Amino acid sequence: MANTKLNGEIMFGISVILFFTITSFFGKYFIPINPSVQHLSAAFQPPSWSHPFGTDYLGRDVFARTLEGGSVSIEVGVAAGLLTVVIGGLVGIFSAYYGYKVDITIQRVVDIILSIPLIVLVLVLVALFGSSIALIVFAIGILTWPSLARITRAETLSLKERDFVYAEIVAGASGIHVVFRHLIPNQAKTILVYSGLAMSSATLIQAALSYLGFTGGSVSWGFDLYMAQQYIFNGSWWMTFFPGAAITLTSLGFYMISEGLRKMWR
Amino acid sequence: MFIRQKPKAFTSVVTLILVLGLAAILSPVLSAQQSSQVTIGLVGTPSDPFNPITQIALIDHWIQSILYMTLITYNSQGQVVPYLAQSYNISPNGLTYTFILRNNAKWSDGVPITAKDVVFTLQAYIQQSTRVTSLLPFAEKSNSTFSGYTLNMSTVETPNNYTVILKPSHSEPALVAFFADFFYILPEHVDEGQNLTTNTYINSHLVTSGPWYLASSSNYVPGSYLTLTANPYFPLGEPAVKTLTLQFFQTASAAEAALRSGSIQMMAAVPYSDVNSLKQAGFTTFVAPEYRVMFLQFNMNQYLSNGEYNPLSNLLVREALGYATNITALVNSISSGYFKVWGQAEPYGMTYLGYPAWNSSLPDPMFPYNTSMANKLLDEAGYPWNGQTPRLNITMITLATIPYFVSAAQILKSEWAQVGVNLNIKLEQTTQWVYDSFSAPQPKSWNIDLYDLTEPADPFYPANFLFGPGNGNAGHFVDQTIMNLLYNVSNQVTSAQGRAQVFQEIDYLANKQVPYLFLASETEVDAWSPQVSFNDGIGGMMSLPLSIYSLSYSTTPTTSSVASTATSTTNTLAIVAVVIIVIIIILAALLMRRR
Amino acid sequence: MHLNRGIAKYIAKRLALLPLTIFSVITIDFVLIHLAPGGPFQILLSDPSFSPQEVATLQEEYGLNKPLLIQYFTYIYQVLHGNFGISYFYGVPVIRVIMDYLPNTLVLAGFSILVSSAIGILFGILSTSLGGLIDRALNTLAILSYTLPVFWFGILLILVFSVSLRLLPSTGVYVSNTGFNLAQYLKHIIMPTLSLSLLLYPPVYFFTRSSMLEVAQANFVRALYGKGLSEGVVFRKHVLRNALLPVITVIGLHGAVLFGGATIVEIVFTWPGMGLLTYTAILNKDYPILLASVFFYSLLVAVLNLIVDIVYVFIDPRINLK
Repeated sequence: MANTKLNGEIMFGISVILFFTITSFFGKYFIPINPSVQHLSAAFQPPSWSHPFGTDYLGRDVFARTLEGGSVSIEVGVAAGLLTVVIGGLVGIFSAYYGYKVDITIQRVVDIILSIPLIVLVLVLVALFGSSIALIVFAIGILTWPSLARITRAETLSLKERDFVYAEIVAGASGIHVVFRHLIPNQAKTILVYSGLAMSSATLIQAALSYLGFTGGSVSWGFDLYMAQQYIFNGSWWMTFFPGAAITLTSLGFYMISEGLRKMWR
Repeated sequence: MFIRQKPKAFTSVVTLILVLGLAAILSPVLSAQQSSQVTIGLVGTPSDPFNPITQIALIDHWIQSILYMTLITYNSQGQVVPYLAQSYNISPNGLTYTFILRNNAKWSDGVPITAKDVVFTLQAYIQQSTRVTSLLPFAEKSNSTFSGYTLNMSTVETPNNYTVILKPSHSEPALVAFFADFFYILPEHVDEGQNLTTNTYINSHLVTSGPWYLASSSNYVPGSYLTLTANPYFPLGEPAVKTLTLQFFQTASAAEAALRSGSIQMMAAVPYSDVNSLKQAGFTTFVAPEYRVMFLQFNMNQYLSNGEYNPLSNLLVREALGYATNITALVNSISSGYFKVWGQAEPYGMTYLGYPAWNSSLPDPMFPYNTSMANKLLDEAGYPWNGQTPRLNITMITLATIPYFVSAAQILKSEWAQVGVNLNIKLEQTTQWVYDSFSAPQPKSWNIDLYDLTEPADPFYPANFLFGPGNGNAGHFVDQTIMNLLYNVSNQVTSAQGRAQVFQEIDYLANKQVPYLFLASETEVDAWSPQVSFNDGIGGMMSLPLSIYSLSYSTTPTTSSVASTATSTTNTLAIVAVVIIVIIIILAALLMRRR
Repeated sequence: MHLNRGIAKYIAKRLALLPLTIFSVITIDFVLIHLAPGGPFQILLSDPSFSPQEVATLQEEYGLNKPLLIQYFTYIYQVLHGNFGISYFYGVPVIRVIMDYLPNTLVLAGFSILVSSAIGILFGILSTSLGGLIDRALNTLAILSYTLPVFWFGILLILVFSVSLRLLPSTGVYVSNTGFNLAQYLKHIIMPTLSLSLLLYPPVYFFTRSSMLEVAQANFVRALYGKGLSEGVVFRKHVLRNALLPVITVIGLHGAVLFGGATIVEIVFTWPGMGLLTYTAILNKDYPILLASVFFYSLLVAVLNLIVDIVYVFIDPRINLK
């Protein structure tokens, strides 16, 4: 049996994600500083005891904003990652299972989606249909599934030839049955590993979108970075550094979970 | 392990890259800049840079003021001076405008500029542009034109090729500012009979008259930059700067970065929070007063476009929002003190023939900061508050591209939350915002619109935009007394002081109903490198084009701190970088030979 | 001879598939844009002066008053003749704007491929030859680079090199009044290239590392050593070439990532390339430019894939061209 002890990567990843989840969603109950309170005369303050990460252009505390600003990123990261995995996994498996025309059509679709830069497609969708969180999750989800689809397709193709699957097919089992009883469980580990990667990139894409102005309405690290860049010349490096570090840590957290799972099961 | 020798090709590639990088870093920033070439940085993207008929945005206006000549213009003291006209005269009763044109002015294709160009332009403006409302004294109705009007030929006389006599049907003192600011003369021999309501024709048949012209269409990269060449036919003499490049930036901080690094020599509208550090870095900064007021425009309709009731239609609500805002703190915060807290439509400094058009009896700020008063008014208006859930939800739109609007919006949201008002901020890009603000049919979709307004230097124009029947009055504030004063009285008053007082009265009447919450009268700060100088002694972007025309640039080795700091820092760090890179290369080489 | 014919057939087949993909891209884009709320009409109405008469003229000029299907086929026909229409926002032919911006993206992409490959391969070699701590450090570094938001990295570079050290310019392509100056141009391209390379090198690194590990242990290498070939020759001719295969694959697979990352980098540094153009076209609702840039993107990615496939054929003698 593979090493099932939780290795360092998984511990790191889980603790980071857990940390930001707790502070973002429940921070208002125990973090003493309010991230939205403005002190207009105390703007651009460097880090100090009263403001560990300094203040921003409206005098708001950057420490509190960094800790509590992750709600959108984590929500979108998890939701879009799951959507990607579900669509990609199912499409890839069905495409390989049914083969022939279905397979070729889906391959064409995958090629088309992969031939346009992701950011451009997401931007087009968001700009045309508005930038609510639901739409952002949807846009990221339906545009990033092809990579997983290719992987599951390849694996399914090889699994299809294996004896036990072949036997089921010959015995007349329905497609759904084969897929859900055998194909998916056998690829479960690959899919789970990939889900961590998907959540990691979904977080980054969401951050990029809110940097570009499509925030989905609430406080978000990416938008803080956009405003920080507007004020970059008055030397307030803390406005740039901490939100960005938070995004990196969150994305890294998801990636580490994925990496840890991969090591554990290989 | 198994690797002994460095792959030779690979090493050469890496070395090449490193060498190129080093060479780039070590070369000084301000190399190869000649004295007759200047680049100015502008924030925004021009969409109608060549067509005065379609122009709306300020950035397009700047470009056109450099490309085309108007009959008259402003000098750096703000006085009207002749420009394309070598002299002009306005009769005391305002019913005759006589312009004697220069006889040596030529278009960029060599054709002389004559009176028929002026008449053609007047006709084109009236038939094809929105500005027809300012030119109504010269217009008569027509069924066959875009605007529904055409030039009333009896208002125009051209006794010879270089004299134009305009006889408006009634006196309108605001026309002077219009002629100086907006009336760019177009070439009749190129544009006659053409459809100028879109830019396609003009963009491909560009013939101009100003101090610089576009020598070839490849000198214009849409959205990126526009390189202009000095016009040898310019009647005031060829400008000192032979090549003038206007470079366009998405954000002010991007333009500022270019200024600091020396890629551009001058920038219009620097971010206010950076003025001091620019000064310390050795740049010249100039605070230019503008006729620009920043305000919240309230939607006065009873209902929004989606059928919802509009709480802002209630005067008590509007007043309450005024009291709920700490206007002084807001204005100082977003402008680092460069804006003047202001409470009325006429900008600070707007005069008519020397008489102030703003009403000094009106308070600045418009409302004192008084949250208990705000709470009381909101209760009275029928919106009680339990202190928990918001008593009102309102939507405000503003431009995402202007940082001080974004800051102001967030400050308002936070302050109004203290009195139980939940403000939804919708940051919009320019195209979307222009549509939502001005083009969308009434009633609009928003409760409040936050922006600022720049208008020509006559008190008529701000009042016309904000209180008149046009699209600018997007909140649909209708007051017959004000309109009467504006369109029937202000142009009939014979004394200058009397006319100025009409506008003071308009401001007073308007404020009683609070259709707008005025916040500030703005200034703009321009910055340029110390090697830039202006022959008119003042400079900046204030009075285009004459201030830019007087631009010159010297490459004499600078005593400024800008270049010297960069060079010494560059040298030190370059040496350090070289040492580090050499060490890395040696290490890599050694390591790869190991085992 | 057999080889050449096989290659020719292969290339021909790949080229034939190209138009299908691109047509599909255009169609989807076309449909999406006409589905958008407000539609293409909104931009026309954004000038408050337009009377209904003027709107009608504009619709005529842009052909928006014809049925959708006719508009679609007209567009395809025009594209085949190189006519992409007139930009709504700029009022000049779209193809002209694209040609102004496209080279900048190609330059940025080219430099970034060079730099990221160099870094990735170098780190991969270091990892495998040194192993141990260095390997783990480089591995962690690569993961960190992968999960770092590329725009944040760009802003940090600006903070350090433009604001604090004042060494490098932080925006825009170099606009010269005096003609092309290589040093200045390079100065402007360094930081965008570094940012984009950060995004691109981790896959190259990972693949180089894993494929070198694999190949090193492969039997045929041992056999070659047994034959007495010097290590240098072995390395150059066989190990490196086999190790480079995945690297080229990675470059090919990541065509869309390359141009997508370039988009963000271009926006951060205001580098006037296709990414910035597409972004501003979306903001300005400039549909002709948007359609054209999506078309060019898919063309670029397809061409990149084609080149990669062809190079593959020449490098790997084992490929079966059937």
